[in-house]
Amino acid sequence: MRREIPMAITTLTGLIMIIVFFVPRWEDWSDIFLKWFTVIAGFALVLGAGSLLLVNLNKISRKASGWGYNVVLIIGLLATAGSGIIQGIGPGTMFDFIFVYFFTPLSATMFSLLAFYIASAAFRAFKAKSLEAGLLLVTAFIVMLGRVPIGEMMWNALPFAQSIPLTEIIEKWIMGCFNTAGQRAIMLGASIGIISVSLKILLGIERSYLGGGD
Amino acid sequence: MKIRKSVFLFAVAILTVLFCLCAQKAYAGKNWSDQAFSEKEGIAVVGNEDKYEAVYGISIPEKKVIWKVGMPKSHSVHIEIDGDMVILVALEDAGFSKNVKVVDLKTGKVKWEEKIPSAARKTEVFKDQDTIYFGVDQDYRDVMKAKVYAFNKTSGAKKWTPYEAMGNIKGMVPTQNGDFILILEKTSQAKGNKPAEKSIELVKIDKNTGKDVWVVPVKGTFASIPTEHESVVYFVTQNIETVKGSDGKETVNIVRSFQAVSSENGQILSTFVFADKDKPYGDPVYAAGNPVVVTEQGKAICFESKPSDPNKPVKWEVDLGAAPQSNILVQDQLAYIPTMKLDGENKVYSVVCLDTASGQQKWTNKVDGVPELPLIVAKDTVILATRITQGEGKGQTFQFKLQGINPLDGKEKWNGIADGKLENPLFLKDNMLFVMLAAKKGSKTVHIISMYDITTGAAKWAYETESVINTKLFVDEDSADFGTKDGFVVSVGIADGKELYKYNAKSELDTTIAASDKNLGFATQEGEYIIINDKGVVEKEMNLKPWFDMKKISILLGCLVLSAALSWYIYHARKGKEMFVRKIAGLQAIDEAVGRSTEMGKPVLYITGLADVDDIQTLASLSILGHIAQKTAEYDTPLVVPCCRSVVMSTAQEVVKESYLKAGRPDTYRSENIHYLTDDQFGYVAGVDGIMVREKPAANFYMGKFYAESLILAETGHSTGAIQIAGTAEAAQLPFFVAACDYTLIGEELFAASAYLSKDAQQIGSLKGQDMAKAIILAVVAAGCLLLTFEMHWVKLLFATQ
Repeated sequence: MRREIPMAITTLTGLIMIIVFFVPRWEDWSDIFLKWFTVIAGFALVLGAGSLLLVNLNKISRKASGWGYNVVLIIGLLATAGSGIIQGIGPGTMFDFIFVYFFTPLSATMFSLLAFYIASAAFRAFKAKSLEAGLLLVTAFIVMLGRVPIGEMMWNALPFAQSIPLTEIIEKWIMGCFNTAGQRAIMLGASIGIISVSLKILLGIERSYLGGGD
Repeated sequence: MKIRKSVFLFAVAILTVLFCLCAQKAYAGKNWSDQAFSEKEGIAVVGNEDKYEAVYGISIPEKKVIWKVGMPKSHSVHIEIDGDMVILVALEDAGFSKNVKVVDLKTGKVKWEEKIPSAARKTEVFKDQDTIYFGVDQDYRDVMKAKVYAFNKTSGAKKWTPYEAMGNIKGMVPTQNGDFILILEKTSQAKGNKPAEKSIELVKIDKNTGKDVWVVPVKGTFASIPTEHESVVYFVTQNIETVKGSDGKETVNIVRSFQAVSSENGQILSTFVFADKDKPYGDPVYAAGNPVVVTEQGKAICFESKPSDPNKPVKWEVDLGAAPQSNILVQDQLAYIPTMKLDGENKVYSVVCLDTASGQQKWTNKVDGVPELPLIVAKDTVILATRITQGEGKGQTFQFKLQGINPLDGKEKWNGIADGKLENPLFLKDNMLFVMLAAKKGSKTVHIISMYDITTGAAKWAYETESVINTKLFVDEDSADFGTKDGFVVSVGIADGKELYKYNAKSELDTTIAASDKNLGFATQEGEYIIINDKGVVEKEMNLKPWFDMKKISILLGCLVLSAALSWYIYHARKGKEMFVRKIAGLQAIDEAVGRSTEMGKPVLYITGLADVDDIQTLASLSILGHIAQKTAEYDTPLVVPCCRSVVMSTAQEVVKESYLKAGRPDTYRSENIHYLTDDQFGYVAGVDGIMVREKPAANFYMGKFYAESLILAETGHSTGAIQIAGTAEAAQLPFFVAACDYTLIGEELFAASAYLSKDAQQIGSLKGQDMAKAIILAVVAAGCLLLTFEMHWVKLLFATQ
């Protein structure tokens, strides 16, 4: 019964979502299900917060290595939630202050790491160790060149460049043909994979998401 | 096993029945076109827009749908009743053509149908007794071309070859002799430093031949809609001119001109250039045989209709001494203009009355408060509503003042004051003036509809409701009917204002109210068309939404073909047929990765992605997690799963717990290792990076949906020296994983992973089915390319979903 009822709910919900996609009279049911999901996710957030507290309090009580970070997290969690609950979240509140002066800059800091990581990943990816890697390097070089103003300037200085604009090569040939074809092939394969997984879930063949692997 | 299957089927059956019962009274869509109504036949024509296009003819006396006409999927349908026929115009091909249908009003039989290619949504429609003219813009290789089509109203035969001209259609103005003038706006191509320039062209088209009679080019762009009176076309243009000053500096001037062109021969009768800062307020208004323009700077200028001297077109010019608040309103040779003048910081509002023959100011009436526009000019009374505001902020209150003014001397005939603020424009029918106000009553806002007799100014009655009146008022001999925001249709007695009935329509009205034979008909936002009688009792409720959206038939067929291919191979796999599956390096490396962690005594880190459990990639990821958890349980290696969504955390805990149970090691399961971090993208990244750096897991798995955080995670993992295996169907993130991870599952491999790892025959069969589905799609793509190369464009329509 632990398997049958969840599987019945999954199959039914999946079937309903497929039916309402084709039946206009029932189309708003998909919105209703999404609302149900939001409500369930709202309650599950309590579980999430509980898990966060338990894990971190446990580490603090054990004085596990780096337990100071857990203290900071608990203080941050309680201060943010508390200020929001007591004062509200409008402009000028403590919650707003934490959001603007702590959360936003910290998020931006994490995001800005991406620029450096792209450089380090590109450095490794473009090592011309084989013919394929060499082709990748040359293609990447041309695309990068075409995307910076100095690249176009350098290209235009070449004697034959006037007849072949660099942007044409990049936009229409490399990005329009090779890149788009590759991306579409991946998307096509992924879409069929999605249909396959969905069908397996609906038919009850794929049950590992319920736990246990089969 | 049989009992389990029976329980499963029973549960599905019960839930299906419950769903069907609930769906009986289905939630329906919105966005009905407003209804056109034939009073003579009592037939309402209403269009169901946007999703499953159809137009319905509903007989209100017969209380039934008498016909239905399918239309292309469109965002709007223009419905017009013309005698015994209905003209329907809808957008087609994602807005790149217009679908025109002319149907019989009584039978719904399509008399004729045409598809007109067009580049813009707007269509100019102009009719005469036997012909319908359509003016559309068409895009030819980035050059706009205007085309005018003429169809015989009854047969749909093309009257003449479509008229073509360069430019965009701005309007079609009928002339007195039945021909029409096509108004075009042209844009020249930018050349070097010279920017693109706009110009106007007026073209008179002969309605019998479709040829141009004359073409008049005019500099600039239109600042008003052209109109024709007594064989003269009037309009205002504006032109941007750059003037070089004596100091060499360039200044930009906007030159506005009033133009009069003879519609008989295209001769420009007069051109009047307005002073620098004078900007016409709205379109020229035709008054007592002459066009009058009022400017934002407070001048009223009357032009000669056919000036004897083209250089002196002005008949009279009056300085109002105040800024107009709306365009002028003309009746019986008198023009009325609401104005505003600043007196220090105070705004002083007045109504000015001019004699249109001489420009003489007849009277000026100072107004208390701010005028509610537009003014209403009845036969012998000018009705002026004003808003009087008292106090500021939360304590602000509003009063509504209604004045009846004698048009001859400007003296007040009557007035009335009520608390509240006008919610809808004043509505005049015969001598009855309906006023809809919102007023404070204690802590509540009430909505009041009042009826005034405009001959005496007496308020006859007032009806109060707690909900906003959000439909046009429908007034007949006995009652005034309207819809409210809380989904009621209210009928109020015209004589005493008493409520006749209040019908609960359960949702807001989506159309105006039509009435025939004492019955009212209207469509609701729940998708139903309802007919009620004069007692407020339902005569008929009709759900007009179709049971199947035919535009999605290609999707359904595609899904069925793919599902059939999958089911075929699953069936054969069940029968025990051996199937070959190629090796997937990323999945083969899972054992190596977990083994390495075990040897190093380090944990395994598993990331399920950023999406919630409603995303198929997360479900695929949870399936792989089950297999990896079984391995870590067997090897007694800690498995850490930090989750970004709390529902995913709960599901992942169950999945891992089951896997540990299956491996026979439930004692080693640690629920605290599968924990929640945060829903925030970069907060989550920071948390996971912290785990990587502090705990240094020896194997990192990234399976699921990822966004910009993919590279931050993978690069941090790389820096800690972990073996990394990633898998996602997000094409934009794949290059990052390929660059920073040891193995990457690309797109479909993520979804194939569960089948590959389980070695379950049925699941392996599904993989084979996927390959067959891909082969079918490749064949269709190749055939499509070939057919389109030979210009067989019908093939595109087979796959169209819009």
